[in-house]
Amino acid sequence: MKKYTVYYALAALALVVLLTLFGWRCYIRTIKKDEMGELNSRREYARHYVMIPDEVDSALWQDIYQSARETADGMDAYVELFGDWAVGDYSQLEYLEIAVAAKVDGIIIRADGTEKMREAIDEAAEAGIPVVTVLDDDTASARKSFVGINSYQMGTTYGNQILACVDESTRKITVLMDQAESGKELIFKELKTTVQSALSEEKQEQISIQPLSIVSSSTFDAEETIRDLIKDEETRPDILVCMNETDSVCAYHSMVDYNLVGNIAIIGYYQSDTILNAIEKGTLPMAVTLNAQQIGQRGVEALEEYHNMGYTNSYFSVDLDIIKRENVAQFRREEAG
Amino acid sequence: MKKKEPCAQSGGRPGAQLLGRLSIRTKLIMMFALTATLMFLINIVLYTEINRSMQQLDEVYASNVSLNELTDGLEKIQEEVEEYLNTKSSDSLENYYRYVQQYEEMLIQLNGTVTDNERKILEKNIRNMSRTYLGLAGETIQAKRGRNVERYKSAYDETFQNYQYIRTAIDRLNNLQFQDNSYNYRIMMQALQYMEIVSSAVVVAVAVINLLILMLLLRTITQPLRLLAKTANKVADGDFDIDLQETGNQDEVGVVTHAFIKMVYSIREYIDKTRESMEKEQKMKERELLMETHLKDAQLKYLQAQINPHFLFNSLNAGAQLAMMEDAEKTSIFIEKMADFFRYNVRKSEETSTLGEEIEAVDNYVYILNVRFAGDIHYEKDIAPGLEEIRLPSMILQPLVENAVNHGIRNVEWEGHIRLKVECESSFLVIRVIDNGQGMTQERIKEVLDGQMCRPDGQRDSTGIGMDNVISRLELFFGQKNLLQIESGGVGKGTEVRLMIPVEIMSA
Repeated sequence: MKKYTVYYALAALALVVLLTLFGWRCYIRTIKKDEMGELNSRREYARHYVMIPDEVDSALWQDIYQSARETADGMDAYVELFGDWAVGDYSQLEYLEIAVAAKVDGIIIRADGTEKMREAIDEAAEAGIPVVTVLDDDTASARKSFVGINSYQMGTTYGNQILACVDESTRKITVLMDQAESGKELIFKELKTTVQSALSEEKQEQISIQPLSIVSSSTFDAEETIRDLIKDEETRPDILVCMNETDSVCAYHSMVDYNLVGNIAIIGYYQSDTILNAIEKGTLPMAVTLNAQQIGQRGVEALEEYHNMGYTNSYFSVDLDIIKRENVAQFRREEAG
Repeated sequence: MKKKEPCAQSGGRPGAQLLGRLSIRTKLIMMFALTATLMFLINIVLYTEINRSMQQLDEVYASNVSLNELTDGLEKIQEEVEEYLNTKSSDSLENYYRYVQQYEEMLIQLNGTVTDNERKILEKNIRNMSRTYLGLAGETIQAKRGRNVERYKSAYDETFQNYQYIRTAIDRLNNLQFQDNSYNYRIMMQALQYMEIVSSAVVVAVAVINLLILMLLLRTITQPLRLLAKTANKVADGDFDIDLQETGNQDEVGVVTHAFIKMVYSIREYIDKTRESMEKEQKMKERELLMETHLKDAQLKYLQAQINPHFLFNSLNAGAQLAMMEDAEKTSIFIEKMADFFRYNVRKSEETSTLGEEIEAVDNYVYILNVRFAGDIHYEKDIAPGLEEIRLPSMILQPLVENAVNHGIRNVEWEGHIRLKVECESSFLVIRVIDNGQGMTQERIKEVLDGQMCRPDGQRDSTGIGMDNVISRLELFFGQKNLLQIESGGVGKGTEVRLMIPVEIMSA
C-alpha cells in the first residue's frame, strides 16, 4: 500500500539523519582522541627531573632519555629532556642554570669537566637539587652520583679493540678526542698503555699512536677536521678510533667518500643505524658501545634513591659492549625491541 | 442485476488507520510541519556543531594572548628594576611592586603540577623560574636600597640572566602552542570542511526524501480522486455496474467516495425496482388486453352468426307457441330449447358463468343437434353433485362438445356416443368430453393444442368458437398453461378432451 511507502520513506529519512549525526559525532570524537590526544594528555607525576644532554639528537642520548623516561614513569616521576629549546640554543651550562631556576626535583647531566659547570652543579646542590652525572664524571663537583664507565675500563677496552685490528701494515693509529669532553686524556693514556704493552718493541717503534684533539669553535668543525685527516695521505691513519657517535658517523662517511674502505680500520662508537649497517656490510670492523638503557635507568634510579633515602651510591657502572659483524643482529633486535 | 455491496477497506496497521482518519488539510499541514521541523532540527544540529568548532578555534588564539600578557608583565618588572637601579625613584619602586603583584596573579593561572604534557611542564618551569626571578629581583632591589653595590650588581646580573631564560621559555611555550594550535586549526578546518559536505548532503537528502513523501502523500489524495472521476464518467455514460472500492480514508476524498458509492447503489436499486414494477404492469396490461380481444372475438363471432338474436328469439318463441297450439309438442320443445341456447349465448357475454349454466347450454345444444340429425348423437352426462355453482369462463363446454360432434362422431359408421363427465379430483375440477368418434393422431392433437389448427373456411355448421379460443381464454383466466388435454387412441378410437380447472383459484 501507498501508505506504508510513506512510512518507509519516513523511516529512511530518520535513518539518514541519525547516520549522519552519528557519523559526524564519531568523526569529531576520533579526531579529538587520535590526533589531539597527545596534545591533551595530562598524566600527573609527583617529581620532575630534567635531563641535559650534550647532543640532544644523537641516538645515544635518545636511547638514554627513552630508558630514563620509562623507568621514571613507573616511579611516579617525569623526566624532561632539555636541549631542544630551538629559540634559545643554550649550552649545557645554561640549561643547568634554567633547571635550577625552574626548581626541578633532580638533574641528569653529562659533565664536561669545566669549572663553570662544576660551580653550577654545586649551586644546584645548594638549592637542594640533586645532580647525577652520566657518561662523563666530575668528581670534584657536588654531584650525587655518576652513571657510566670509568676511563680506565674504557681505555682498556679501546686498546684491546685496536690490538685486534693491528696487522703487519699498521703504522699509524689516530684517536679522535673531543676537547669539550672531560676524561678523554685518561682514556687515551690507558688505551696507549694497553696497546703498547701488548706489542713487541719493534712494533712499538713502527706504530705511532696519536691523539687528535678536535677544537670545536663552531658546530661543524669536527666534520671538517675528520675529512682533512682522511683526505690527506700524510695524516691518514691506518686505524682510526672514534669516541663519540658523531665522529664515528662522520669518519665512516669520509672513508666511503674517498673510497678508502679497507685502507682504514675505524673503531666506531655507539650503535647508530649507520654504524650498525657498516658493521653488517663489513666496512667497519667494530664499534664500542655503552648500554644506554642502563644509563637512563640507573640515572633515574639514583635520583629516586636520593630523593627517598637522602643519599645514593656515588658510582653506578654500566655494561660496555663490542659490536662486531657476528653479533650485530642482536643489537638491531635490541634497538627494534 | 447482481448487487455489489460497497466494501470498506478492512484491517491495516493502526498508524495507517490513524493517517486514514485525518483530513487532507490536516495531512498537508502535518506534512509541511514535519518537513519544516526536520529541516529546523538538522539546521540546529549543524549550527551547534559549527558553533562549537568556532569556539574551539577561538580558544586556540585565546591561549596565545595570555602568554603575551605574561611576557608584557615580565618586561615591565624588568624595566622597573632597571629603572630603580638607575634612578632609585620611589615611583619605579611602587610600579615594581604593582607589576610584581599583577605578574604573580598571572603566574597562578599557569600549571604547577608535573605532567607528561610538554606545554604544561613548560608552564610549570616558567612558573618556578619566574618565582626564582622575582626572588632575585627582590634581592637586587633590597641590595640597592641597602646600598650594597657589589651585591646588587651581581644580583642584577643573575636577575637579567633569569629574565632572559624566562623570555626564552615563554617564547618556546608560545612556539609550542602555536604549533599545537596550527595543528588544531588544521583539524578544525578539516572538520568544518567535512561538516560543509555533510550538511549539504543532509539537506539535499532531506529535501529529496521530503519531496518523495509529499509525492506519495499527494498520490494517496489524488489516486482516489482520479478513480472517483473515472467511475463518475462511467456512471454518467449510464453504466451503473461499477466496481469502486472505498479508500478506507476518512478524509474529504474518502467521504466523497463513500457518498458517491452510496448514491450509485441507491440509484441502481431504484432503477431495478422501477423496472420490475413496470414489467409487472406491462404484463398485466397485456393479459387484460388479450382477454378483451378474445372475448370481443367470441362476441363478434356470435354477432356475425346471429343477426338480431332478439328478433330470432321472438320468432322462435312465436314458433314454439304455434307448435303448442297445433299440439306439436316435440316441435314446441325443440324450438324452446333452441331459443334457450341462443339466448344463453347472447346473454352470457359477461366473462363468467356457472358450471350448471354451461351444462344446460350443452344439453340444449345436443337436443337441437339430435332433432337435426334424428337422434344420432347419444349423449350422456355424469355430473358429480354440488359442483353446479362453480364459476368458470362462459362458452367453454359447448365448443368442446361441438368439436366432439363435428370432428368426432359425425360421419362415422358406428353409433356415436358423447359423454360429459364432471368430477373433483384432488384440487382440480375435471371436466371430460369423451366421444367414440374418428379419433385423432398425435400430430393432430399437438396442432390443436398449439393452436395451429386452421379452421376450414365455409364451415358453417358451427357456433363459431374454436378450440384455440377456448384454450386462450382458459389460460388467460387462470394464468396457467396446459389446462386442456386431449387424448386419443388413434384414428377410429375416439377422443377424450379433458379440462383441468384449479378449484382453489375458482373458489378464491
